[in-house]
Amino acid sequence: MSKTVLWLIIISTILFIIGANTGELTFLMNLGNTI
Amino acid sequence: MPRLRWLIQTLVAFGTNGYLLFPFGGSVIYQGPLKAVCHPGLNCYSCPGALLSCPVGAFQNFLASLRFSTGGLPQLGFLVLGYVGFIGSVVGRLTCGWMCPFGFIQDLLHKIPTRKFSLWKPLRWVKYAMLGVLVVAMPALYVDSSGLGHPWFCKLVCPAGTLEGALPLMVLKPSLWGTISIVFWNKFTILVLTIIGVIFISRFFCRVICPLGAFYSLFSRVSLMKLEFVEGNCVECGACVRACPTGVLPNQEFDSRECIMCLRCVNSCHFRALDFGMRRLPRKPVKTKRATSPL
Repeated sequence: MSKTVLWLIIISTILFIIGANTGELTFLMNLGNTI
Repeated sequence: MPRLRWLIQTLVAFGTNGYLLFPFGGSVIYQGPLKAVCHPGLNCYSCPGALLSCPVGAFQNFLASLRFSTGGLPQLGFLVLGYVGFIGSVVGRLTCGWMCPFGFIQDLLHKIPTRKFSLWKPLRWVKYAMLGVLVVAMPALYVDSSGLGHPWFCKLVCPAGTLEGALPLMVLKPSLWGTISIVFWNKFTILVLTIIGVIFISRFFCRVICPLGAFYSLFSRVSLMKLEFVEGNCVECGACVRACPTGVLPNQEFDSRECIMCLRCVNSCHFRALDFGMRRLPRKPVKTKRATSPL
């Protein structure tokens, strides 16, 4: 595994966790209800 | 291998569009907790059967409502970015070849027996413009008087939305016929042109328009999984080139951004010159002691 892909996986995971903890899951749920 | 791909494409397409309660008095589209999860491929969340959200539509909606973010950090769509970024980092565009329902529809349409054409290669750059302008810049920057942006790619272009969302909804809810505007006819025209394009040119939408494919393609050079070319085994018979649905030359263009890793080339090569596996670290050159002169 190259270092670049390892960093990309780590950054993606961090972004996902940030999103999940800033209410983005609720936003997505509401989006599903309002379409 | 081709049968396995067809099986996975079919299972994913029907499995993620498996909401079947709408004919029996349920709501017209699914509104349950699974909508908080994005589909790895392009699949309209307005499709009556859709169980998951579309990552492209969801990301645009995050940017469009950026000015209404509550809490400390602005909701920039980190959730979607992290999700598709993770998929892209691990498998690159393999999702396009194996898990995208609209890609599957294109594969089926391309089976219609007609004369086939190749794509004019500069058109491949259009999808990056779609990603940059209609998916990122316009939803974030072009807002109405209330400060709300719009998902412009969904609104103006997305033929997957018209085919999987708008048309079935209009059949199920005839009251929607009254809301038809020029925007719908614009999208309907794009859908018709896309279908014609797909029948004659393999994966036309993926190669020219798809912003999700454009995003995943950014990872093609670094993704964990990749196509490997064993140069010593290649006899340059051209079987892989003929098999490729996206016009890549697998024996010349390594880690091509256009490769959707459908593995048709691997399957078509009888000399095992192509393989699919995990990217390895480049080997460091072994330091050898410089030969010293006996003199």
